[in-house]
Amino acid sequence: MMRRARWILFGAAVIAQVAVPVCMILGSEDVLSAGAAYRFQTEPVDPEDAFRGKYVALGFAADSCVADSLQRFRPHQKVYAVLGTDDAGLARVQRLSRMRPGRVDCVKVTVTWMAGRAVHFRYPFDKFFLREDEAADAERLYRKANRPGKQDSYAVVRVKNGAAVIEDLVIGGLPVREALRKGRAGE
Amino acid sequence: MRARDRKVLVDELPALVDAELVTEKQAARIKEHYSTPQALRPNAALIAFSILGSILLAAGIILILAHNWSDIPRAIRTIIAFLPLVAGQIVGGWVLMKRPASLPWKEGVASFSFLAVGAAIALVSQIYHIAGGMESYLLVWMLLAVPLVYVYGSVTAAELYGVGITAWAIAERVAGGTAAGFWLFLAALAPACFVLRRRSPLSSGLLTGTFCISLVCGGTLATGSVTQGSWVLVMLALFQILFAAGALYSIDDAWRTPPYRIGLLGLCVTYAVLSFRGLWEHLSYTVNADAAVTSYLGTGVVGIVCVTASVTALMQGAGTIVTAGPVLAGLPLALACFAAGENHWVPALVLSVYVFGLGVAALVRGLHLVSGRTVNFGFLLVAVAVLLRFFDSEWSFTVRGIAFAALGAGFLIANVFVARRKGART
Repeated sequence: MMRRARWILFGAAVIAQVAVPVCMILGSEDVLSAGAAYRFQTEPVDPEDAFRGKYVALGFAADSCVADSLQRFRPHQKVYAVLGTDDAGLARVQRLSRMRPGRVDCVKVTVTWMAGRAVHFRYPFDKFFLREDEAADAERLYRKANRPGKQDSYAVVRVKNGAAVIEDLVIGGLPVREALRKGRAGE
Repeated sequence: MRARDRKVLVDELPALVDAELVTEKQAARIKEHYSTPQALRPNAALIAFSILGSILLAAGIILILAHNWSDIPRAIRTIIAFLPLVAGQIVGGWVLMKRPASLPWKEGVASFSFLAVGAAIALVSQIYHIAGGMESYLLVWMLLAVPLVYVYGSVTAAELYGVGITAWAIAERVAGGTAAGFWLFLAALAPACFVLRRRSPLSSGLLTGTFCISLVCGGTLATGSVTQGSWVLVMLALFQILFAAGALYSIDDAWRTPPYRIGLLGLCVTYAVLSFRGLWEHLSYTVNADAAVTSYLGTGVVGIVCVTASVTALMQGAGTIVTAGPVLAGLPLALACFAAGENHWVPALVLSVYVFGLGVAALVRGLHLVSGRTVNFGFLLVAVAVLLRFFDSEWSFTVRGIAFAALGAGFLIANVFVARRKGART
């Protein structure tokens, strides 16, 4: 009886342990293949700490929105940022909504702080994973590419049904790995 | 019985026969009993190396893959991410079929599989840049890994789970959550403490100790703070529950039970820390407007369980090093101190005197029972109560020197007294 129960528990555990990562993969692949692409302009999180460990910590220019006068938000609250694009083709947030709006592209974000009616939030895609030595080189390229008046770095993000997946990080107009190869070749 | 002890006993048999304490027939039967090889016992060293080897193997695989990770196509990386997990599951199935009684195999595969689950989720998150928070990662990992505790009957997996859910509670609170789910996650570990307690005294003690520490840390975080600093009272209540439970479980020698030890030490350390005046600026009954409903509920439940356990222990006169009464008096004192308002020196003085008094109570009890352990514990408490005042008082070097000398002399005299009384008894 105990042996049978143990085998049933083992079977259930095997199924769950495989199913969860598979669901994560399928969800991400669905967004990457069928989601709308948005370009989120990046900005330094902190020149000293923008790159930590094996990933690039991303900060975004479009990380706040003016809320309607009737809306009330609080820190750590999950809300939906409805997306649009500006004249330069970069993503911007049109409005925030507590419920997921239908038929428009939106991303689930976390409210961080408020200043009057301006609501600041954090995107779910705030890390881009790179090898540790690549991250150090990417930092140098990123700083060169983000001098004032010359900001052509952005993250390409696929969005679908409130979910978002980073497709690539562009530095100086080139995908990060291409930019790194070019940078190494130039040295 | 250890082999060395068996040999000593068998070697003593002729002397016992000569002294007519046992007959020759009885001596022969005893010798036969202890000369027969014991049933195979799990080799603790083998189990330990099995666990260590599994953990190192899992970590090594992950590090090797991580070095050239970004050059591998995404589809291949996705397959590789599953390899340690699937390998662990295949070996685990083989162990359940062919080696169901082997502890080294079960502990090893459980450790490896536990880490492989976390690695699979982390690698998939890395491949698809799924950032998320540490709290969501730990939650998924622990929920997927907890069945391993019961499938393999693994103490290692149980301890990793205990550490994991405590880390989750910390991460969840940092992220702004309530961590109320901690109680359910801890409840999933509770049966393991009973099921696995017959494994060996060491592993049972480690697992129970992990459970107790997880209960206090995670429980304090999950209950939150109804008033400013009331989490301190919740923590004291949880330590008190452990103390009372340990004292009731083994009335004759409660010190051997991990809940008693952790509860008593936790209470003493917390009261000693609370004897600092500066802390009381942050502790009061000012209600926390942001307190969640779960905080009120958790505080109420912890309070009721604490009172029930404490009253029961008090009525039975439980406790060895220190009886229940003096220890349990601390929490009502702390509750009263929270109402001190701006007079921060009052609670600091009260608790300082209390810790000193607790030490004296243990000292007197130790001298009465002729117990070196109890005497030394009492002196340790007294010394802590006195020495901590060096940090927030203006005592001169002369006064400090006299205090040191008096403590040292008292310590030596008490131990000599106990040693002589013990010698006289034997």
